[in-house]
This record gives sequence, C-alpha cells and structure tokens, in this order.
Amino acid sequence: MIESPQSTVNKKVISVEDVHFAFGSEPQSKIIDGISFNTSEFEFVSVIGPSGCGKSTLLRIIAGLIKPTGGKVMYYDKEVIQPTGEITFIFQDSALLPWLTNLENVKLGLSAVKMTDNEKIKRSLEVLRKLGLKGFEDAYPNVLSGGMKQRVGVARALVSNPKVILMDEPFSSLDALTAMSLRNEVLSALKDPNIPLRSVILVSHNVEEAAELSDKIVILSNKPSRVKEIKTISIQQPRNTRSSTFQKIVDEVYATLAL
Amino acid sequence: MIGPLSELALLLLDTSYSWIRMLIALAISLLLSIFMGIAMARSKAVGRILVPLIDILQTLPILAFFPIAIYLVLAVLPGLIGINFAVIFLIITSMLWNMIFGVYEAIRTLPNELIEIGRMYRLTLYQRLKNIFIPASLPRLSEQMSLSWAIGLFYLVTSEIFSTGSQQYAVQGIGVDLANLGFSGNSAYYALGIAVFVIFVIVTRLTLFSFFDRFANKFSLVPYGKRKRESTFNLALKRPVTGIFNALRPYYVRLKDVLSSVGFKEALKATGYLVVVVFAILVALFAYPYISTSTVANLASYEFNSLESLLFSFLRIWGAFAAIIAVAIPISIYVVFLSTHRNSYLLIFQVLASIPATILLPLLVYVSKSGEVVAFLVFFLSGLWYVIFSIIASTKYLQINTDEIIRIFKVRGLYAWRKIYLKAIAPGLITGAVTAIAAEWNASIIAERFSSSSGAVLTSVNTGMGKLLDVSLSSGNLYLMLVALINMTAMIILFNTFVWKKFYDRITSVYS
Repeated sequence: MIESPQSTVNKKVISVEDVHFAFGSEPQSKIIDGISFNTSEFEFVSVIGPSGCGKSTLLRIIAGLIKPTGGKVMYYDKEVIQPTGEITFIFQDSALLPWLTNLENVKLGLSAVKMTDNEKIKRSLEVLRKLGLKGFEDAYPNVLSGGMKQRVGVARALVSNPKVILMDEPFSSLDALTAMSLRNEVLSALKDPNIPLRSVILVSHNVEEAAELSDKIVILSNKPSRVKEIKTISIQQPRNTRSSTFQKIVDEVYATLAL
Repeated sequence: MIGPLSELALLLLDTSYSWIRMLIALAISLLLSIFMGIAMARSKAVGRILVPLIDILQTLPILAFFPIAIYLVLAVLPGLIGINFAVIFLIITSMLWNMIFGVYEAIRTLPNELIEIGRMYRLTLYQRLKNIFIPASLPRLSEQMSLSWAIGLFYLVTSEIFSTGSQQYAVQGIGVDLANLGFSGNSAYYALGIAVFVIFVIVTRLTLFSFFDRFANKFSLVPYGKRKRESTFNLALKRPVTGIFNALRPYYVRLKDVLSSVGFKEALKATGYLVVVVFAILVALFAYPYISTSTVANLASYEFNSLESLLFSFLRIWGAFAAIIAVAIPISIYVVFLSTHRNSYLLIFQVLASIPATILLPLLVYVSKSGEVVAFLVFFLSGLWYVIFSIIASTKYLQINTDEIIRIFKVRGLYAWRKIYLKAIAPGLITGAVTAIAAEWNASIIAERFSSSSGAVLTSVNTGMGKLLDVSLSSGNLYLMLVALINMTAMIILFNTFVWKKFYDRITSVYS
C-alpha cells in the first residue's frame, strides 16, 4: 500500500467482527456465518459475492438497520447498534420519496441535524448543484431519469457530511456513463481530506467495478456466507482498466469467486 | 307554486343536514383510520390485537345495535344532540373498518427502503408520519373512502328511517323526509326527494371525491408515466369499482396474518374462554340472590324467542341471497365477458347502487301488503349491488387473458360458462357474498318490521330478528334486546369461522 500523508491512515473506521445472521433457528435459515473485515481511513472497500449471499443484509447490519444474531460492528471505538447519522446509505434503486421534490428529498438527509431550515435548504441546494442537478431542485423524482434519480440519492447521502457511505449496488441499473461519473463523484469525495468522508463500503456483483474503485475487495462465499479472501489492490487511482495488471487482478477475483 | 318550491327547499335543507352528519363521520373516520392503520402495520403487538378484532367488527351487522345505542346514548345525552351523536357514531362504524385496512395494507406494501430512510436519517415520529407514512397511505385511503361513503349512506338513511319509527328519536334528514313522504302516499314529492338524494350523491362524487382522489394520487408510488390518463368523469365512475376491489384485498392479507399467528390466536382464544367463564361465574354469584323461577323462565323464553327469530331471519336472508346470486351471476358475466358496452352498464349500475335499498321501503310497502314480500325485496336490493360490483371488480385483471383464451381455443356454450366464466368470478363472488350478507343483516332492522311515528305498524313479518329488536325497543325490554344481540353476534362469529374462512382458504390457495 502506498503511504498516505495523513497520520491517521491506519486508524480503523468500520470493523466488522465475526458477524452472524440467521432469519430463524433452522440451519438453512443461516445467511451470514461469521464475517470479519475492516476499513481504514480514506479506504474504499468492496464486498462481492454470489447473489443471495447476504451482501445487502451485511450492509444493513453495518448501518445499524438490522441487528446481527452474533458478533458486532464497530464504528471507530463505538459499537453500532442503531443508525448513527455519521454512517449513511445509498440504496439500490435510489429510494426517493415520490411525493417530495428533489430538494425536499435531499433535505430529508438533514432531518436529525441541528440547523435552521434556511441553512438546510442552502446546504441541500449546494450539494444538488455540485452533482449537476441545478434546475431540477423543485421537480419531483419521477420526472427524472434513473441516473438523475440516483444522483439525488447520492446528494441525500452526501448532504449531511457523513463519515461513512454504504452503497448497495447503487449503479447496477444505470447506464455505463452515468455510473462512471457517479463513482468518480464518491471516490473524489473520499480522497478529499477537506470532506469528512472517511470510508466507503460498496456491495456489488460487478467485479470490474469493484476492482476499479477499491483499495480492498472482500470476497464472500455462497450462503451461508463466509469471507473467502480479502484482496488488497494497490494500483494508484485513476486506474487504467485496460492495463494487464488490472486485468490480472480481475481474473484473480473471478477465480476466487468460482472456487 | 309555493308548495313544490318550499318542499324542494326543505328537501335540500334536510339533505344538507344528512350530508353534514356524513362529512363529520368521514372526517373522524379519516383521522382514526390513518393513525390506527399505521399503528397496526408498524407495531406487531398492535396489529395482532386489532387485525382480528376489526375483522369481527367489520362483519357484524352494527345497524342491529342501533336501537341499543340510541337507548344508551339518550340516557347520557338526551335530545337532538344525543340522537345525532348516535347516528354519526353509527355511520363511523360503517365507514371506518375498510379505511383502516386500506391504510394498513398501504404501509405493509411500502418498499422497505422508504421505511429504512426514516431510520437512516433518524427522523422523529412526527417527521416520519408527515414525510413517509401519511403520504404513502393516501392513495389507498382515497379508494377506500369512496366505498365507505356508499356504505355510510346506507347506514345514514337506514338509521334515519329507523328513527322515524318513533317520534321521540326522529332527526332532521333526508331519510326521515323520504319515509314520511313515502308512507303518507305523497308519491310526487317522494320521487322529488329521491332525485335530490341521487343528485347530491353524484355531485359529491364529482367534486369532493374527485378532488381528494387527484390530491391523493400525487402520493402514488406508481411513476407518473405509467399511470393511465383518464378523464375526471371516468375516474369518478371507476373509483367505486376499484374501491370495492381494494376492499377485498385486505381479506387475503388478513388471512395470511391470521394463519401465521396461529399460536398467538390459540392463546388469545384460551384467554377469551377463560374470561368468559370467570365472568359467567361472577355474574351467577351476584345474580344468585335475585334469581327466582320467574326470571329463569323469562330468560329462557327470551333465549327461545331469539333463536326462533334468528332462524327465520337467517332463512329469509339466505333465500334473498339465493335470488341475488341467480340474478347477479348472469348479469355480471354478461357485462364483464360478453357485452361491448361495459362502461355504459357500469354507469347505470352505479347510479342505481347509489340509492340505498332502504330508501325504497315506502315504495315497497305500497307495492305489497305482505310483510314477507317487503322484507324479501329489501334484503334482495340491499345485497344485490355488492355482489355485482365485487364480481365486476375482481375480474378486471382477468379479463384480457380469458378473452384471448376463449377466442383462440374457441371455447363455447355451457363449457365456457362452467370452466371459464364461473371459475373466473369465484373470488369476487365469495367476497361479494360476505359484504352482501352483512348488508342484509343490517337492513333487517327496518326490513322485518317498520311502524310509523304514530305507532301504526306499516310492515312486519311474523317472526324475525329485526322485528324482535324493534319490538323490544318500543316496549323498552332491554334484556330481551341484549339476549337477541348476543345470539346474533355469536351466530355471525361462528359463521365467519366455520363457513367463510373455509371458502377463503380454498380461494386463496388456488387464486392468489
């Protein structure tokens, strides 16, 4: 790994410690069977695995939306028991409230933040503008394309200046170009020390996407899922996805998945 | 020309009084349904208690409780305030249940992400209600309100007409006017009254409900592009139909709930039995010093009276229901599968169905002097439209497929009826039957005996539950009324558990 100038670089942000999850007591209801990994500051971590292996459940456990049946999730030195406000979530299909305007949807991300209403509006407009949604503030989400909706979803996540962003296959239904620009948006926010964002965890089944963005890929097995391998990728950003080094990493990840 | 004009003015004024009662009841139902529905859907504990309870309340013929409600309310709140309170309370009991289930189902089917947003961004309860839960429940609520309004009108008119039967309980309202005009043989004004009533119904649909529907649909989760563009008039016509269809859906949801909480249900049942036994022992202990042979004999005769009346009403109501099926099935199959003027028929049906059957009582009494014939006709008209609308609504989504199958495979004649039409309408028929039978029981309080304000009996059967309740009220025999109500309630609950549930099980296992 390349040494970063930040002194806190090796501080753990999110630690997943031997997390188990089952829907019932029968053996076949076991979804997650002891997963551990962690993210350091300024790290982008992807979790990939076969469909139905409990990736989304894992992400919801990290967010504090679901309680694990065993193990725990630490955010710095605090255990995550419920949503904290510092860890946010970008949903698969944007999950915007269709009856609120885009501005109101973004403002929703500031609900629990102590700010005056005017400050909230100002901050929301600023983020919307930054994500290229100027002019659509007062429109409703359903008039937007899928890509623009997801931009609003990203804006809602970024507006509260979170420390951690969890992403549940947020780009899977978008066209390649839109997906790329949104990925870069998140990635540049992560690498910018002036923005409080310290870690991103992405759940995906797209190996190329994970390899392009991640400092670390956590590869999961079939249900009940365990960690097969944690692969560190130390190629510098922006990555050339056509280089042979990159292709070699992608092939290795595929090979591990297929094992 | 002073006569007809002042009569018209009076009719308009009194219909407005009736409408004010309806609107108050609707507003209260709206508030209650939003909060109860959301609480039931979001809290497992609340849901487990309220879902089965409301299920029972929904099928009880609450109009039969009107006499005792009047009796009790007037004891506390005498005069016009009391009687109006009783009428409004009664209308709420007719409107509320399906609205609650509408909200309940809207929240239950809400995408999980939208609920997670509320937790993710740590919204307060108020913020969650305002931004997520209340908006999400509005489209369903709008559909249910439409159905509730129709049922509410039936209750309003029936309770108003019932109140006419005794001078001291009469309120000012269109139901009272129609009963008085009809029974005094003033047929021209009676017809004018019905016309005023129907116009009020249509105007309310095209204004208030149309407005609320447009407002509520802003909160639909269906993207704008995918929504069908329809004229307001079309919407106004179709809404009652979709309303009824949506009223049927909670039955399926509830069935699943009940099945999944069987363990809890057993426990609840056991506790219920225990409470009843303990209560019975306590009553027996307290009552022991007062019991004489004459009170026992009295109670026994009340019980015998009730069972006998129940049996006769049961036969009458199911007889009328057989006639309803004989008429409704061919009509609905014709309209749904064979006719090319489906929408024109729907328009006619909706106007006809908007006239509560009980409003026609004076006309029916005029047609026949036989109490049996009058009762049969009131029952028949009370239940008919529920069955027809329920069938038409439930086949809405089947239609295209069956039509193609019939044409491609050239299915014809009796075989098509047996294998396609009758099977296709089965779910709608069952759900329609439940509402129709409930409506018939409700109508029984004026169908089986009705007397004018001067006390003259205008129509009456020999033996029946409606008659028993009416007689026990006018003779002030509260105990007889209670015994009769307990018997009827027990019968309805037993029937729900042992007959309707079996049908639902069959239907849901095959059709859903």
